[in-house]
Amino acid sequence: MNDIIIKSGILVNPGGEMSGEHDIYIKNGYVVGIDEDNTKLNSPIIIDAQDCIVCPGLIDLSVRFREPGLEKEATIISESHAAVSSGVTTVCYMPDTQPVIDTPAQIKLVEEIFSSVGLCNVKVLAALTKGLDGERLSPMMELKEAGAVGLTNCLNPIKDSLVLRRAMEYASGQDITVFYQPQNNYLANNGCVHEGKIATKLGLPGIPSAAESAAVAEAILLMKLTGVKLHLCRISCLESLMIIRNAQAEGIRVTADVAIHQLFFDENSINNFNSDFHVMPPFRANEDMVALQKSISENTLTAICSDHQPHNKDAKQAPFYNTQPGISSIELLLPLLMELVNLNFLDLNTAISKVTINPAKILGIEAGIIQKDSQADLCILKKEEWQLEGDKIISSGKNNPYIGKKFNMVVAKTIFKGQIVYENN
Amino acid sequence: MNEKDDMGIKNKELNQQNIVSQQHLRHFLDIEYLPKSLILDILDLAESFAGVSGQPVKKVPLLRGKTIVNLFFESSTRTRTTFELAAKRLSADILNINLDYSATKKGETLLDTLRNLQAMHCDMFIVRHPSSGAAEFISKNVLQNISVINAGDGRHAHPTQAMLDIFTIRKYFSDFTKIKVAIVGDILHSRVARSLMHALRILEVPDVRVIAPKTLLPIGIEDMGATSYVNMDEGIKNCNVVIMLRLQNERMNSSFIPNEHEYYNLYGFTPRRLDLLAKNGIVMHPGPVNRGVEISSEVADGDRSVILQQVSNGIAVRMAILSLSMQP
Repeated sequence: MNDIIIKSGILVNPGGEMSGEHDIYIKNGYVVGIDEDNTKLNSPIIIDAQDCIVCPGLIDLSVRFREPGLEKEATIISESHAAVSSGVTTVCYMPDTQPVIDTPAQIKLVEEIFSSVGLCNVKVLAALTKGLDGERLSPMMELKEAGAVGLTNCLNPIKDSLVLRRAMEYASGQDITVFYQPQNNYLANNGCVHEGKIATKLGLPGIPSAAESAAVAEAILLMKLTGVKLHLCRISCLESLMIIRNAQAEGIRVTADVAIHQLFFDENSINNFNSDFHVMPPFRANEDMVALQKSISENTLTAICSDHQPHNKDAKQAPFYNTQPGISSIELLLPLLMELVNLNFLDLNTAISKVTINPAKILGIEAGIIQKDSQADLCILKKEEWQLEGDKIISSGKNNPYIGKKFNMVVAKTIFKGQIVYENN
Repeated sequence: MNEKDDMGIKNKELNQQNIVSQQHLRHFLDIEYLPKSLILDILDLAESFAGVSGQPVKKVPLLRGKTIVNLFFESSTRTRTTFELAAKRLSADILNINLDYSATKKGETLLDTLRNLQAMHCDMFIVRHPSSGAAEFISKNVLQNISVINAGDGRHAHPTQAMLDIFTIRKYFSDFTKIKVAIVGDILHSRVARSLMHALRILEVPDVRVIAPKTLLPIGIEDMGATSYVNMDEGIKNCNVVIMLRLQNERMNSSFIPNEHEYYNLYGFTPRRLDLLAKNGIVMHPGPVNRGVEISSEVADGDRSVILQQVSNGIAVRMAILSLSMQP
């Protein structure tokens, strides 16, 4: 294992004390010093990071790498390569694999595959209900002891408010965070797009914003009732934002995240039945997207994630309603985030916090920070114009609506456990 | 993304998809982006074909040697039969395939079904499918020499029905810019309503109304150029044309409306309501008619009703569309 010195990079490190231009010394997988080489490095690789940004490795709050069970779509190895190409060194793994992650053995299996691939960390969110059936509670404490950092039912419906209450109550007792993706499935009524002018024009069944915001309100009320630690996943509309903001103003410690694509597209994108824009929750009205963009600099939306969902070609090759929802874009998480900075929606430091220290705090893990003795997971970004070409996509999922988009920052290197796991050529 | 630019690109794209030149269609998927002149050309051509059905030999040789496939993933009698007759009167060979998802049940994807049919060297697909956007999807996945005609996709579009409706309207009202048209019933689930609204907008009909209980009026329908009414008497007042839509029985079970009786009272075309129309007003219905649910028998069979003329006109209009869309 080679030691590394990153020289003269501009450290953007919202969770840590050090920022600005520094040299970083890495030995045996850990940061051993900033500026002062206090240990003797063993023939180190010297990376000249002059004019580059150095930030902690990203933590992506929602990924699906499809393994086990759906390897025809993607694998942990294929998607780990995509992840590190975007500076992501920790991924939060969703339990809706086949079989569902609802036993300690399933968690171990996923962790072992990641560990043998060795490109990035995994943190598993296990199933909130057995088999994600929305009715029977999963063995929460066993899952926690096996390494689950939280529980979620993904977008699978929870049978009724009573089951949700009990799940939250039980999780609260075991001090486990519930990651709840708010959607009232009665109101969603098998829709596939936002209930708005595009749904009306194209004749596609719509999901009203109220399907989400009503579930947000309910979850926050049940959080107050049960005392559970609650994180709301994939917020997509204005009303949800208002409810969360009000709750936070009252002192309720609810957190929330947004999928990065919600900050770039609205319902108008699917005007041509383009199944690449079939996502769940759906792209909402323009005013919803604008509201998300405007509030992304605040703390209402605590984190930004890729909501990475790779699909094989067949999944998107059908009439819109019959296609699978989801976008494969983990490899663009950091370039897209830089684009948001470029568009002045948030400053660089806040942007990096939404994908490093904030998700680390939500997950309750030690990561997302560069400091002495922290694991050396970091990313070096440099200024360079580039354009996404379809045949250069690393992920197995080519369901990527950003093909042709231009970016002005590129990930130069990603370091995981003190090793260079990605280098841009 | 800039919405306006996006729409602009999309308009162009769709125009290219639908139209090769004014006299020739690549596919016939939707009315939304057709130019007014082309719509009028289709109506004029249909006018000339209308005579064919009255002749002792009901055939013209325009599409001799061409093979057309009626590819229906959803059941239909009227639309499928009139397309079949239209194709036969143009001397094409026509193949009826009713899939009703049967192939899909066996695991075959829509794309594979298409590839198999393409391998049989067909020239045109007339497609009906329960998913919105299916016709457009199919048109993007067929060989260059195959045309796709949309015979109804989900709730999205039923452009040939809209064309035959405006053809029928033109028989009674030669100037579209002077009429009031109301569409009554299940607007939410209706592809006919959507295509009609596009057609009426392009033909510059100044007053288009949609009338339904709020549960069956989709959000933002006004953006499509119509005024919405919940009260039918107000909505049909002084209209020259009222188009009644079929109410599917399952709408009652999913709590869109309380029951048939209340629906009939509020939105059924009863004889009393005839007096509310303009004095030359006509009543239309794309069929199949639910007597006593959305329309009374007296009205459906009365002298203001043009429902059966719509069916006859359907053949001529579809002949026009088939002949304009067939690739040389």
